[in-house]
Amino acid sequence: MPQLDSLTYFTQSFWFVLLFLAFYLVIANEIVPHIALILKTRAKLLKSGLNSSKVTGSKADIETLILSNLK
Amino acid sequence: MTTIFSPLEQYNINPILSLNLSFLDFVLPFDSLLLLGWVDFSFTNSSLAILLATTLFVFLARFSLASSSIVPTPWQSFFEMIYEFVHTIIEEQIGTKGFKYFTFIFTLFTFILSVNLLGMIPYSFTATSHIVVTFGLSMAVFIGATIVGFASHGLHFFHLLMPSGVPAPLLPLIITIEFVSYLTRGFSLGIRLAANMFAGHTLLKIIATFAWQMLTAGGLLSIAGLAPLALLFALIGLEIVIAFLQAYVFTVLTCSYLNDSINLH
Repeated sequence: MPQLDSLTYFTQSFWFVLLFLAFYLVIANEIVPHIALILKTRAKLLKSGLNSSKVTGSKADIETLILSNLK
Repeated sequence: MTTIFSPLEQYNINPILSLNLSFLDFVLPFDSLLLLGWVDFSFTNSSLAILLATTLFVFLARFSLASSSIVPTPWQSFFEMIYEFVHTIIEEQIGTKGFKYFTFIFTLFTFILSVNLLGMIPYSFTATSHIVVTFGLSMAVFIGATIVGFASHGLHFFHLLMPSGVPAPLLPLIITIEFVSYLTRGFSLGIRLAANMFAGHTLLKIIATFAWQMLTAGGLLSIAGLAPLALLFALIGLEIVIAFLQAYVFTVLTCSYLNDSINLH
């Protein structure tokens, strides 16, 4: 069984830890913030859409304003 | 066709780029090289599988989120679904206190999922079928959860071993059982993932060999060989579900262990 070959344990663990850390850094710095930004902006837009009668600008104005936040 | 390959052959670790300390043999005395012989930095097929799986996920996410908008594109929606899936797991298992660990749990889930799914491509390699890799994950979770427990509760964390309302004579027994079950967590988490991937891929290989042998036998056996081939297709579908399910189980159990550390039962 190759799983029990202890000579391969070091190289497997080493590359696993290295690549997991790299993956974590990319996810933490790039992907999770990006998705969170989209979801938060959408929630904000929906909320402002519900109260659109109280907002002076038109709905399209709010939408372009929030969309520009995404960039 | 008489050669039948071992179903365990697919788990062999083959170096693609050999990197060990043998180049130091003219500097170091002979004995020290014998001692350091296990230190091997070779880039193997296991490393390549992990590299491919994580890179594919990152690039897919980047391309999908590059043209993100309020009304999601289909691929953007897919990544939002993964985000909300992990978010729901943490909310159900830990509560709002658990969102501190969101990034780690999201990484854990997507890492296991992409490595598992990459292994489903024929002729590729499943890094999570090796016990060392899954042990690395489960030990990190286990030690991390213990540190979180001691950091947030101090010595009160030992209350985890003592459920309330237990009669005093039973306490030594209960504490021993709880302590052993706490220690087993770190091992069972890793063994579950590796054993599931190992068993599934071995079964696929055995059925595939069987179907291949029957189909090449000629005559009526070739027609009968379509039955194991159909079974193989069904099992591949099952294996893809298991690849997802094991990533989910690993994530849920990680959250449940973190919940014990944060909320103490």
